[in-house]
Amino acid sequence: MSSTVKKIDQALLREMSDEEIVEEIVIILRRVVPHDIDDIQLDSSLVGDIGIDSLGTYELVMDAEDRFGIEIKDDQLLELSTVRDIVDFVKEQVE
Amino acid sequence: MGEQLGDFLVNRLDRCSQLALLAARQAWAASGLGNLGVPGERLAVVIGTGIGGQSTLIQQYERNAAGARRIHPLAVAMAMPNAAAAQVSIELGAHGGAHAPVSACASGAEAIVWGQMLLATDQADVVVVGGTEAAIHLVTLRGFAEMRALSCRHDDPSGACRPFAADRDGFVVGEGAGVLVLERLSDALARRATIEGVLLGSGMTSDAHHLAMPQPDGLQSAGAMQKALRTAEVEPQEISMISAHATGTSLGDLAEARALHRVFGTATDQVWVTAPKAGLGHLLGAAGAVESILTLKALQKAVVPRSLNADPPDPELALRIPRHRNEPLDPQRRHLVLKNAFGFGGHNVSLVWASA
Repeated sequence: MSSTVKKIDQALLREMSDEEIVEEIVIILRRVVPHDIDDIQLDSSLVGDIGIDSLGTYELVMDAEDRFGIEIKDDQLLELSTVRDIVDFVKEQVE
Repeated sequence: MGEQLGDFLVNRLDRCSQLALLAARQAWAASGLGNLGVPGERLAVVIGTGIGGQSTLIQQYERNAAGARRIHPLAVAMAMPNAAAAQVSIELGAHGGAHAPVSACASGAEAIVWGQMLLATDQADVVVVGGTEAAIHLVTLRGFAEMRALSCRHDDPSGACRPFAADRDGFVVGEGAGVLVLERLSDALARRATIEGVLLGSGMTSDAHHLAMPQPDGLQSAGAMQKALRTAEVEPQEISMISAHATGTSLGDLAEARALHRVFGTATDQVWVTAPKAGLGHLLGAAGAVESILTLKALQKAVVPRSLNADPPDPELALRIPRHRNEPLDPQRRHLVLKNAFGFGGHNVSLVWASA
């Protein structure tokens, strides 16, 4: 059985800074990328810098939906190429 | 396990594969082969499991039933019974074949036999073999319980699994993995390896009788033991100890005792018969491998491990059971052990192990 991701409290999420949301995203990225990913910046590219593959992207989306209580449609996926894109998307969705 | 495996492998592997991977790392490190550069094409993996990653499949089914938009994209790959063998092959870079025998509670022992055959047929020079299981899930437990296979001694956990006892009432499920590294004896001697034990022979038969019940007269399980003895080129009276399958079910223990009497005849009175599941629980597809390791450790210490809870012993079985203590073996002699592992579906596997 693989480990599961718990949904974060939505009121708490609305209060979170960009850096705190990045920390949450890094926790997910460590689950879906096989190599060490210590140096993650807001502008890190998911594919180019972090080296995520297509399966990992799917897992990232699934875990982000679970963790942040959001919905990421398949056509919206193409717009998410950096960590900052995910942070902005999460903030838009929860507002 | 998270600390040892890291978040990525914990997320990508069912628990049964996680256990197998950790056991394989331990076995590989202990083998001393890591620094010797075994060519990948000469390295094979055989890791059996009875049930595989069913918990992942059920978890993802429940997720879907609860209305989740997505389920894990590797749900199938995590659930497949060959996942553990595949993952170990990935980690070790083994290109000589990765196999996953599935024969219920005989799987781990069967993996050892396949490893021996891969060496004998020159398919590989080193084979990482073993069994793994992580099947403690409500559905599995209920399934076993509905067929009256589990002990009902809920108020006495340590006394619940009672192989060979007159009042035995079923087994206790456990989880775990056991992995060994097999190579030809000549190769191990040549590289001055620490040899844990020697696999002298093995035998496999099938009851062709029932999907869950053993053949009551033990005819085919006796056949597996006889094949193992024959291929080991030893006589029954040369065996010092039998590590029985003995799960603590009424029918299974009786059928195994009948098989032992078929094979050992009047010598049955002379040979110790111990039941590791009384202490370990039933590790299902991992049992044959974990109990083989336990057997080799017992040989190294020159003891027959005490068989717990066989009290009072079932007189119908008429076996020599070390009920009160670890019985000493002559440390000056080389000792041979017969290890049995039987599985639902009538899979019978027997191994003859010797001290190094």
